[in-house]
Amino acid sequence: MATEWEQLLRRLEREGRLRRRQFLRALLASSLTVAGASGLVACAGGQQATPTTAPAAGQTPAAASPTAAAGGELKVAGYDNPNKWKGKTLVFAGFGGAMQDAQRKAVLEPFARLTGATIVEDTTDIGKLKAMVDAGAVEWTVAQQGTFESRVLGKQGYLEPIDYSVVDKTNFFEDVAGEFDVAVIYWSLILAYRTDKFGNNPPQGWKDFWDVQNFPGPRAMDKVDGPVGNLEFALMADGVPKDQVYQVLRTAEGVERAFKKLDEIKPHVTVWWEAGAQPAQLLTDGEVDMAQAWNGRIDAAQRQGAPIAIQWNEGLLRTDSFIIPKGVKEKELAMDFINFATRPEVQAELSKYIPYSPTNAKAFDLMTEELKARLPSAPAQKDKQLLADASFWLENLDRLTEQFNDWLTK
Amino acid sequence: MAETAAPLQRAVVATQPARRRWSISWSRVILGLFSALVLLYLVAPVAIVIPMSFSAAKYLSFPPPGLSLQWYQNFFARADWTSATIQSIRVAFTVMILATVLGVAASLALVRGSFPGKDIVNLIIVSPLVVPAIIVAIAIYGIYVRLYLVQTFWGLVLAHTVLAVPYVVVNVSATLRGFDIRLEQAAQSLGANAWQTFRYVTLPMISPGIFAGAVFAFIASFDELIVALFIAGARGRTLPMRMFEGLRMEIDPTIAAVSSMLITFSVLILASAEFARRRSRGD
Amino acid sequence: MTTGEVLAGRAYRESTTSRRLEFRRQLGYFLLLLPTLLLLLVLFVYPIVRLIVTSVYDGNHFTLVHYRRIVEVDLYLRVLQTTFTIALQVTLLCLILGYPLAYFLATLRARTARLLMILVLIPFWTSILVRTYAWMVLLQRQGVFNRWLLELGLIDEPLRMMYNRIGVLVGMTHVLLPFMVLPAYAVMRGIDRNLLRAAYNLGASPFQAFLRVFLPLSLPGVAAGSLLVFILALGFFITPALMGGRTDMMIAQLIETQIRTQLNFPFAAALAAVLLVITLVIFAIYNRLLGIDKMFGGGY
Repeated sequence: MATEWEQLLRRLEREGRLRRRQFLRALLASSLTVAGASGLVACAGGQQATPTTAPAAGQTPAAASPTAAAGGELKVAGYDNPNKWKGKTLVFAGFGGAMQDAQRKAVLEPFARLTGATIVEDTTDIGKLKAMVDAGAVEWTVAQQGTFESRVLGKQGYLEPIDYSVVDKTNFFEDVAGEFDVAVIYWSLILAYRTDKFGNNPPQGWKDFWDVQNFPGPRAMDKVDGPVGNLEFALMADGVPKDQVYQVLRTAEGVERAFKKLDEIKPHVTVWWEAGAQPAQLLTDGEVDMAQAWNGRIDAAQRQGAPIAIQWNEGLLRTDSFIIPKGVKEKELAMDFINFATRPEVQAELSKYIPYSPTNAKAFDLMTEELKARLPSAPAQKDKQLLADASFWLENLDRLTEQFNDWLTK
Repeated sequence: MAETAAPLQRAVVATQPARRRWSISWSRVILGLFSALVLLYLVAPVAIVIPMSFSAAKYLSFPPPGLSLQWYQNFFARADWTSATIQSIRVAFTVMILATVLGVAASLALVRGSFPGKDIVNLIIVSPLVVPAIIVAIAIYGIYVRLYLVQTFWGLVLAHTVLAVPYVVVNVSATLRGFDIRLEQAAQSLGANAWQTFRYVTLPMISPGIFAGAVFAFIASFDELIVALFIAGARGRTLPMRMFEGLRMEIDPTIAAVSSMLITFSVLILASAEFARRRSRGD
Repeated sequence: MTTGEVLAGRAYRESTTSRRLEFRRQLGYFLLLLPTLLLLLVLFVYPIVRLIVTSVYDGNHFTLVHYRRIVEVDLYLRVLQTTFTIALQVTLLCLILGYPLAYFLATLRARTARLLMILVLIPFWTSILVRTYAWMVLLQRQGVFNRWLLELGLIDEPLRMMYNRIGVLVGMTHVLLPFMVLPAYAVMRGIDRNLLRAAYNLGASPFQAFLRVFLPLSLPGVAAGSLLVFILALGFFITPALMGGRTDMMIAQLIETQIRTQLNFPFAAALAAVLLVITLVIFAIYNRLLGIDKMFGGGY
């Protein structure tokens, strides 16, 4: 019996071996290629926060592409030494997507061209930033984050203080120059509506958004920002003038009043959206007639011909900031880069590619009227809106997010 | 109960003429219809995704306002998309092999062996599935920095292997539990050594489980975003990292083209493997 | 080889198996386990424990403040409850849809089944974002299904199939169904069909044969599938956030927000620890209750 078994095995092996060998060889070969290539990555990765100039994804070529600047190469006052940062590498971590595409053309490539620095791009993540500082292995030179998040990080000791002897804040709008962050763009949470539903009587602000009698139709509201925006809008819908909103919110009664007002709209909200692309989609498809939305995506949908309009009245103006992780090696380079990114020429250039708007007031001098009309921080729009109060939210975000989520899921 | 009865039943059956195994009956028709509906449900979104990938619009829209190959062009023209895809396939393939080998070995030990602490090991092995990815990412990152594994290929592979092994173990253990251990014992009593027993008795029996585990391991790595975001770095960017870029503001319709291509390739590869197998067997 | 020979072989083996041999055998098994165990201990258990310690130790002393918050604020227990409810509903749906499908596939010829299995795997290859978008197209108020149903006169008002629990279940079940079908199929494939024939010959109806013979034998696969689906469902949050209503918030989302917006790592770690512990307790009970190890294939 045992010998029979052995014979069987031998026969099976004879028959099976060839194919198995070939298979194993193929397998080995493929994993060796994988291993070989990864060996290179591993070597490069060993140097961590000083990435090499090896060409790869995320690498910005030092030479600006011909399409970089419409109508001639961008010139920036004060940046005329192409060898200023020669041999230095700046790792920039942005949000990716269309925004980073625009930044590449308007900020990263011109900076590389005008200063000689090599730029490596990555994608930002706040958890990762904290983890890399905790571990003492900072990979990024400059990162982008929401301003609230940046201020929390600054308070918790994860960021380098900004050196305003390098970063020129002369023409910045209010609250742009933070202790640990510099706001680089404005964006806005606004009321967007379908033009074909409301005809000559479009909603004028949050009072109308809340008014389901005179402005019937399904609505979409923002849940990804939690209480930010929703509480302000509720108070304005309840008749609080926009310049008193945060004053009222700082009191316990004010918060209670906001939630009470939110109770009124709750049954009429058909969609609470989570992703920035959602409200534009919902409005375009006619799923909802009115929505809170981020201005950038609505702008893009409008240009695709969607029958959607933005009501700038009582919108909430917010900012994104550039920050420098604590323990960064190239601190001077980082400061200079932030200064560069906030120059009027650079900010005006950026707005050509994406409708996020300058934090340096002088940038508007370099723009067409047509462009200004689309930007949230241009004077005509800025005056209609409420500027989000970073210091209020820094103190209250945790508590109010909890309360908001509790209210939302009840 | 089934355990002791099986060989006897088999012996009994062998002496009697076999009845038609699966007679055509109404219950079978209903079962077939129900299965077809479930398959339809699984495939339904594809009917939207593929047409959408040929859309002439600048954002996701259905029905497409016009036809265009722009998103495919965009994919192939841009090194960041193609390199991310290649990177993901390399990582996922390596993870699949590692996790399958480790997982099959561990399953044999956990199902066939009996040693103290087996229950705890079981808990440890499934726990990577339970802990949210963001927590795993932060925790692993801290260790990785000290081991110089951040931004390395093998760092990502090992981290993904941790996440993929449970899939293999759960699947392979289930198939191992389902089959009769006495077949192994019989082989051994007939003189087969441990490896021969595994190779010629156990392996063929549990291969559907290994296949399921390997597929899940591949997917676990191929779809994984958050751990990759922490560990991969700009130069080792994976496909999900590329897909989720800029998500805060918009969805890049290139992902519809990517999804369509992945569907097509996976169907082609699996189907051609199936046909090749048929031919080599001569049936 | 006949049953007699099998039994004889077993007896022979048992009679010569000394304690030392048995010890060596177990040592062999342990060595098979060792690489996986080491990998998990170094790259998972140790880092996670280190992180979870931050939820009870604030650098100077022991504190339970984060856990107290979880217990005292309604929100967290409610979201945990929602999370487990959704996970359970999705698991049941996968079971209801997946078991018959796996059973059907297992009755087909192996190669036909493998070809159909390609369809089961399709949900894996579509990015979650496009997949969600596709569901929007199909399910929303003015979506494809509602238009069909209205045209056919089956409904007068559009059905709400998205931005509520239905949307969550449709979206999650779709992605998780393969995790039920594959292991269930793998085990069903291994079931000896002769057992069913024997049952028929002994006078069982097809239903009885299924219930008394096939079903119990397929349980390890179902158990594995349910476990995977349930555990994976617990960690979902993007699909429910995009396709669900305001009440369909899941715990992973809160954990994510704590890290990404509030930057409160210790509290996030506490939430994760609670999720982990509850799940592992459920897993342990489940294992004990089903007693899989003892019921099936127990060669020891």
